[in-house]
Amino acid sequence: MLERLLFVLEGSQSLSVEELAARLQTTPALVQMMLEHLARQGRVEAVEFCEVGCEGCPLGSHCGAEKRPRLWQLKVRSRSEPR
Amino acid sequence: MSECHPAGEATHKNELKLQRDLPLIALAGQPNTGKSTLFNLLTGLNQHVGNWPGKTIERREGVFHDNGRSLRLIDLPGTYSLTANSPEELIAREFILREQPDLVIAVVSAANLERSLYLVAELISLPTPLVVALNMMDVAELEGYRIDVEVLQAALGIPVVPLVATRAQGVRELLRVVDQVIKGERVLMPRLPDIRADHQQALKAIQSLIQGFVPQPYPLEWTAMKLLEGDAELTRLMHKTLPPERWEAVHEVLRSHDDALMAVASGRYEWINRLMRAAVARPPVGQISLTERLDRWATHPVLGLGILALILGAVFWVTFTLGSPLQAWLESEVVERLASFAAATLAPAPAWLQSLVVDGVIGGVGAVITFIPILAIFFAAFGLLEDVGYMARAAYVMDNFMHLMGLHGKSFLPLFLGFGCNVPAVMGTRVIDSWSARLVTILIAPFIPCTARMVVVAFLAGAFFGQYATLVSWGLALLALIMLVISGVLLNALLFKGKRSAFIMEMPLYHLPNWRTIALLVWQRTLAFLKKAGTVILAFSVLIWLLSTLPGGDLESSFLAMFGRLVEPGGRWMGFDWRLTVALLASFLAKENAIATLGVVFGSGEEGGLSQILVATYSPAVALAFLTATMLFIPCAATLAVIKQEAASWRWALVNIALMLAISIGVSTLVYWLAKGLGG
Repeated sequence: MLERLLFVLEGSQSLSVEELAARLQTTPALVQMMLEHLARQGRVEAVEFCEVGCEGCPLGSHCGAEKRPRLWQLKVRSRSEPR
Repeated sequence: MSECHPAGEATHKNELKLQRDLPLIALAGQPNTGKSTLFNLLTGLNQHVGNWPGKTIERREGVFHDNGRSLRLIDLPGTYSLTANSPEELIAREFILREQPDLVIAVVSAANLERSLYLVAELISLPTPLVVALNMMDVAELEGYRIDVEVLQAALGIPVVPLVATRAQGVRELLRVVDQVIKGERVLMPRLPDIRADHQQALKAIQSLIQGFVPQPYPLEWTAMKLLEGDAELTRLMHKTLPPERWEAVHEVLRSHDDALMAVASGRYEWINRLMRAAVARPPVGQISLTERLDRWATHPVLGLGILALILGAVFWVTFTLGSPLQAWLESEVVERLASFAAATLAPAPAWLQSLVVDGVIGGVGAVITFIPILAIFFAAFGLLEDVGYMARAAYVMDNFMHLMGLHGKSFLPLFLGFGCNVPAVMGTRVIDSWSARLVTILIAPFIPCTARMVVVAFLAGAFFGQYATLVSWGLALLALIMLVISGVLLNALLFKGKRSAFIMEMPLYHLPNWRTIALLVWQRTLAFLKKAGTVILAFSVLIWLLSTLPGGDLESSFLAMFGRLVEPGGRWMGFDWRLTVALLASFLAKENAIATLGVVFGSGEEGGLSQILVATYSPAVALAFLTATMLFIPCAATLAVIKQEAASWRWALVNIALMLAISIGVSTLVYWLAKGLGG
């Protein structure tokens, strides 16, 4: 099941948790659990809005970032070019 | 069920010694499944709270009496699994393995069954008898879930007892089952999670290699499984225990099955999924949540884009229906009157002072201040869409465009922020790991029409196009997004050449808007705008006034006009005279300065407000070209400074200027000549 989830992430079509659950014939809660599991293993990562961008941002205090969605994607192992 | 034994410390120690001979039951479960409620219900005051040896984690132990006999009950720390990821997980599994209780009760939440079942998948693999207490049945029912307890029990092969611990419902039945299991009157035939056939061979190979070396009390099969799963604690233990050649052989098996780590967990998830599908009925169609029903439309790849376009159109419609009349009222009733009042009051004062106040300050800042109703409507509309949870869906359907650009999912997060302001959009690109993807995102982020740009467009579109203002503004916003996609595709082909990866989005539930939050957001952002009007825009208006007055007091021979005529040839392609060209260039410092400049240059007075003067001066073709140029023009100074900071070089800031300048001039020129050709 985790393998099938990773296969979807390796593809190019983005999905919502609900759509992915329908595709894997399971529940959104189980998809969520599997994503968290893969994140603990370092295979995927959760990306939050403004997770680092808020630092020093002039709109930081009132941009409502906390209400925004969270993305999961395959973890990029290394940066191709450092800052 | 419980009895109170008030006693001194010595008596208490004696009691504990006696209690060690009692049948032992362990309560296991995730946090927040009602485990402690059940523990308190069974033991009452007859419990002892301490710490687990060598840890600061609370250990709760008690005694309860049922059916004429006493039983010892241990409340294990709340855990999500039994892999040694945390001290709690290690304590729970070591207790079960070392103390070998007579029974483990897994307290699971019926309202959150999937999560609870992962721990059950691990507990069921241990040799200790297991009973499932299916707690929170009332919450599950309220949420519309129907759990077939009989089916769940058959699928698990162990007893499952439905429970509402907060109301003590089902506790008698649980105790009856516990009694049967402890007495051996009930046969358990647990159905364990499977792993793939090729990994089963690896499991057997490890078992045969470690046989005879596994320290007590660890079961052989469980230890082999944990080694395959990559459990750090067990790996360390077996590395220490096994002879080196054996460990090397185990290590070789593990190395040749490096995906087994995932396969073991995957088997557990398959097992949970099978149980869920067999025993749990989701709410019927009529009861599907509002979020799911709305998302069938809002996140549809085609319909979703249509809905997004409609909503954007509706925002502009509300802006022009409510905001423009208010803006016009502010212009005629407040700014013009204020200008007339100031002119009359300052009549005895020197002419330059009167001109500074009336043309410079009121003409510039006053024109910008009239934006407030439009601005407040934009802020409220986007705040509302965000607060109800729609903006996440809007971003999701926009992902189709990201696909065209070959960008990572992460790129779309910062772009989404750009609708508020391009500065956080550029800063938000820090979440992108790949440098080239980050660079492409930085370069295209300023194409997102920010609030300031949309307000300038809304002001001018309202003035020039009246009843068609909604359509024009909507078309311009879409044009900016189309330019973003085209630039992204080109930059991706030139710089990035990256393969796009998919992402999974967790969307917030739709909910009723919190009007207080929206009002606060509108207030904060309007206040920030007023501060900007009172500082940057005021200073700029005074500077423009100075340049338009010096050296001789006549606009046409002023420094501003001289500069304007110098740059006018660039603007002429788009049909602009020197005043519009200067206004466009002025938007570089802050987008609103375009209006402030026009306000200073044209002033406002007896011949009407700024919008009336502009309509009388320019043709619709020129107006449309100016709106297009404003929408696509180079980013403001703050955004450029952040581009330089984030790209760590002025080179990319200059590339961005060149890109946007070329696109804005090219597209606006095309728009001007097309509109002129059509008779505009």
